[in-house]
Amino acid sequence: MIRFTSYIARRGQLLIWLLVAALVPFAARPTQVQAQSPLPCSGQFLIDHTFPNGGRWRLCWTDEALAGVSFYQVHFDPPGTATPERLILYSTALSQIHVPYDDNGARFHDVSDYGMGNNRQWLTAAECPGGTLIPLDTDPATNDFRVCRTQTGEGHAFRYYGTHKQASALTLLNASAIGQYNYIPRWTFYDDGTIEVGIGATGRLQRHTTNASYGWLINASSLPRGVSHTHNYWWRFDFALNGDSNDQLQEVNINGSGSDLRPMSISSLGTEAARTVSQSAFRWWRIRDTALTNNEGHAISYEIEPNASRVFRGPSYEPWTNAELYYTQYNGCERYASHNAVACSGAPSNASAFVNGQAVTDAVVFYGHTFHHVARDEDELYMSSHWDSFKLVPRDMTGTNPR
Amino acid sequence: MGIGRHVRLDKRAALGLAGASLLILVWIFGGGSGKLRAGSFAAVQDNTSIRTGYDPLSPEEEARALNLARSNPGVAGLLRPGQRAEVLFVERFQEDKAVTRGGTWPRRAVVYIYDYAQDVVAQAVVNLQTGATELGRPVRGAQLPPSRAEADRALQFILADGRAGAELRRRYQEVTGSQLTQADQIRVQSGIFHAASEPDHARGPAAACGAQRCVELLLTTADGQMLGTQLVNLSSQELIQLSR
Repeated sequence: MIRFTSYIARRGQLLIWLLVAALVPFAARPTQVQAQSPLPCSGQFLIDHTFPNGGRWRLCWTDEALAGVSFYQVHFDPPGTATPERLILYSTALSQIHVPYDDNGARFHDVSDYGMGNNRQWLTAAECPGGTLIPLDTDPATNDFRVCRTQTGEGHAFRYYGTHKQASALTLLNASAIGQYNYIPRWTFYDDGTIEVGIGATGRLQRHTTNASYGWLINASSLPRGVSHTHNYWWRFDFALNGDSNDQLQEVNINGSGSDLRPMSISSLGTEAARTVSQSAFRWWRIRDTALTNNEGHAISYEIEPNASRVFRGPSYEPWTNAELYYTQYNGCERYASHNAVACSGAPSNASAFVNGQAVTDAVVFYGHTFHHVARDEDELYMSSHWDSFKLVPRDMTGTNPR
Repeated sequence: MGIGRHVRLDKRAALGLAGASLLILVWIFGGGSGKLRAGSFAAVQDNTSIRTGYDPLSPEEEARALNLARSNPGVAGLLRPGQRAEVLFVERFQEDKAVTRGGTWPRRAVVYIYDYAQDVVAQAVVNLQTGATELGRPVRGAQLPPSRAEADRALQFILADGRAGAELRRRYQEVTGSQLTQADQIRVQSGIFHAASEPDHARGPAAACGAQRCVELLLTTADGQMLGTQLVNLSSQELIQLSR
């Protein structure tokens, strides 16, 4: 900023302020003019995206040998001038992909034992239509990886008779090849603060069997059958609504399944816990900050909206499969839902062991989502991408619909 | 002298006015700073010399971390010729939140080394700003994913094995109609095998996997046709049969 020190300069400055004061009432101001704290990342690793509605995401991404593309300090600034930018997640990443086959012929742990970053793939421009490829580094000799960044139209944000608005989202996706599978982690950040956590599974079938109990015929002859298997996707979310303290998980159940009244019960959890999905109770969870409210006095929170059509329970030596959600106090050595020994020396072995009675003030949630794959003829030669996802949705971050 | 000074300041004032007027115009007609950025993407800049915070290591930083680690006497001892140890990979050190909370922290790398003789992972944490390297206590039973070099070595081991090598060549001929003459005709995917992951199969020699470093290879042709899977214990240097 040029500094004005002379009388003439001061006069010029005064003139500018008069001009500004005169024009302010006529100026459209869709977003607040607000200084944002700088994020601890630089260059292509800093994402700062503002939508047409004024909603804005700021975050850091990085690539890690095991977890692959991971995010740090995910901030959202809702559209409109009334609400400030909020820190939503301190960090988030894939925490495991556990792939047990129905014939017990293999039980893989793809993130810890193969590594998403270790097996990252090169995306071409054709794989990122309408978007921008962000390189891991720009040296052509070593540049072997890209993230595709796209702003997509997401259809109706809302509609009411003649009133309607279109929604937008920022999508960041990449690819890793593990065995015969290619995974496509896809993170979608919507213009209302919703985060859709998704992953595509594609590639080629890896295992075959003659046993009809465990596979599906995919050729004209009786051989081979593609072996049915499960992809248990796990993510780690270090929630940080308004910082690292005062986090609290609430579980919401809509009781009375089978009866005409469906009363809601809300329970707050003060200590670490393992929780399961319940379709019949419409169960969902939210992480709220107990000290932070929106302009209507309601605790700001993020809802974990399960999208569970399958539930996987494994043998006794897979204790992390006994629940879908592990609510834990932050511990930097607890990172992988299974095979966590790689995180630190002496670290607990899996998510079920992360839950050991600690009081939770800085919440880290491990959440698992299951896809069971029974092969079909169409899986040859290449399997169509099967997309799985669930959402983290703002609940009471703003007093009204921010869109 | 005095006049010149005034002239310069007048220019500043004029520039300030022009700049501010432009900002005001942009503000009015652009609809605000948020809208100006909507849907647009900044040109990608990668200045590897200023990587910071959570940014992954640049190739230069990885190379520098490796060099600094090798100059540590403990690391040099581990990696000296004749020792059965090698670097798995180098990446940004995963700092605890207690360190990152302040917003700035030293740029550190971690070099993971596997010692096949002792079956431990050694971690050398390198401060890229000061050059200081700390060799942590070796950790047993933590099997990080295999490196490219390990996968290649495991494949060489299979090709050199009388029975497994012959079977792989036969299978390659069957699938492709041509001879397997060199290792790069095969696409190798590699992962760690833990006995604890599949206790029903990990009997006999496979029971040591996890405590020892076992690499499972998925072998295909370059176009993805399946050639088979093999398990190699890099610690004991044995080919292992799984009873799957």
